[in-house]
Amino acid sequence: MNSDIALVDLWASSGRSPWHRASALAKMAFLAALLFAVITTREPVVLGVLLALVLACLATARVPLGAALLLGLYPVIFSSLFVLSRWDGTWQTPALLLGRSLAGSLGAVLLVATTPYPDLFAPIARVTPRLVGDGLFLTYRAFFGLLHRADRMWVALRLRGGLTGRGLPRDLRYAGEGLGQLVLHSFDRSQRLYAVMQIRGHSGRVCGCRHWADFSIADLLPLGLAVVVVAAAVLRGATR
Amino acid sequence: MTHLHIADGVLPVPLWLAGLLLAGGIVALVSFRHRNDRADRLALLGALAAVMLAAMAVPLGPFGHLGFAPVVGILLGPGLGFVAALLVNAILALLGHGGITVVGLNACVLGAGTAIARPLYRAARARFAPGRSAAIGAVGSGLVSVLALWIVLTLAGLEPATLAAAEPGHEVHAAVTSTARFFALASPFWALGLAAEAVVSALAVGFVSRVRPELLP
Repeated sequence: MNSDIALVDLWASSGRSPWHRASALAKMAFLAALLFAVITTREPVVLGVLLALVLACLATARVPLGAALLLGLYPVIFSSLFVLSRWDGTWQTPALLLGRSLAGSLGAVLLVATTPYPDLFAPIARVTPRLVGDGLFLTYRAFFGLLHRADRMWVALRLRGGLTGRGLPRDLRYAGEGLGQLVLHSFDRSQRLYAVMQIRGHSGRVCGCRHWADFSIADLLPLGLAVVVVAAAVLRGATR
Repeated sequence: MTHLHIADGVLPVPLWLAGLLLAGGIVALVSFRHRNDRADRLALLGALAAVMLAAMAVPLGPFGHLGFAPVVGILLGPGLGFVAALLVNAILALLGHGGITVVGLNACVLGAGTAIARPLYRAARARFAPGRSAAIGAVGSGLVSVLALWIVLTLAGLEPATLAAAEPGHEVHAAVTSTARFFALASPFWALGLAAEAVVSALAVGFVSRVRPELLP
């Protein structure tokens, strides 16, 4: 999971595709349109078309498809238990539920893999309370501060004979104390961050704004696709 | 471990809309209550939500991972603990690990457990050491999350499509039966998760109590 977040962050900040040039708002509009279509459709074939569209978008964004699919499959694995419990004996029900899971999560991966996190969280911070808007920004930022320390700690634990996978009780003991260390590190780090915020003149809002609403010609791609997807979903629903 | 990464399009629309409204309402209340807090509380919220994300990298078999929600709940308290659960679920949803539309419901399920952790820990502290109290808090927190998930899935089973397929007069029974089937499938993973979460919480809180006891309530 830790490496997933680091990988997605790398894709978002180093890409140069039209999707990366488009504004965060336009891509959010496309994701909303995609989710609308995914939720309203009841036909596995239509879901297949939507999945193909998202995969094509990921390919044009030059996001590695294998890694993106692995990320997207994660909720599908979790949903499979739920799908098993709801199985009515037909192939359409599991196909529909798992297809919806995969299409929705790949749409989210497309958004985060092409949008640097300050641009992604800035519009969210505009419409949510400070605890959520600034909390998202600070959590993401703190996570990267923690990432290397956590990775080094897990490696050190393995090298010293902890987390070997040979005994769950022993592994849990080391994991627990290791996480205790991370908690203390986070406390100290949050105090340092607070001091830095004060020095830099923090006025009650962490501003993560950069280019999230800088509209350009590249926005035509996500906005155009959003219109097409919503129109197709509405027309399909009307003709059924 | 005791929460579920429910994906988009799996649950009925009124249910996830209600989840978003409920989570939004709770966050608004917490925001109002903490409106005069210093910014270091916000920095701490971000830091501990990040620890929760890092802890989720510890796998527990094919269907689960560590959650660390009880420890975060004990350290932050019910209100900010709930917000931390929401932040973690929102970031996970953006990474494709769960649905965007169901962030509210996922947050309510995980947040219910996070919010109950500190009251349980405090009650247990009257008789037990910090580590054992944290284990009790973790088990209680996990059970509350499972109960919240039970409620969500039973309500999901009451959607019109499911009810239409059920025999007349047995609609509610059909919803409860399909939810019970889900719980039968998931319970071995939850039992493992509850035990693991209790051990890890006990050790992490025990470690904090030895090194920096002033951080614990």
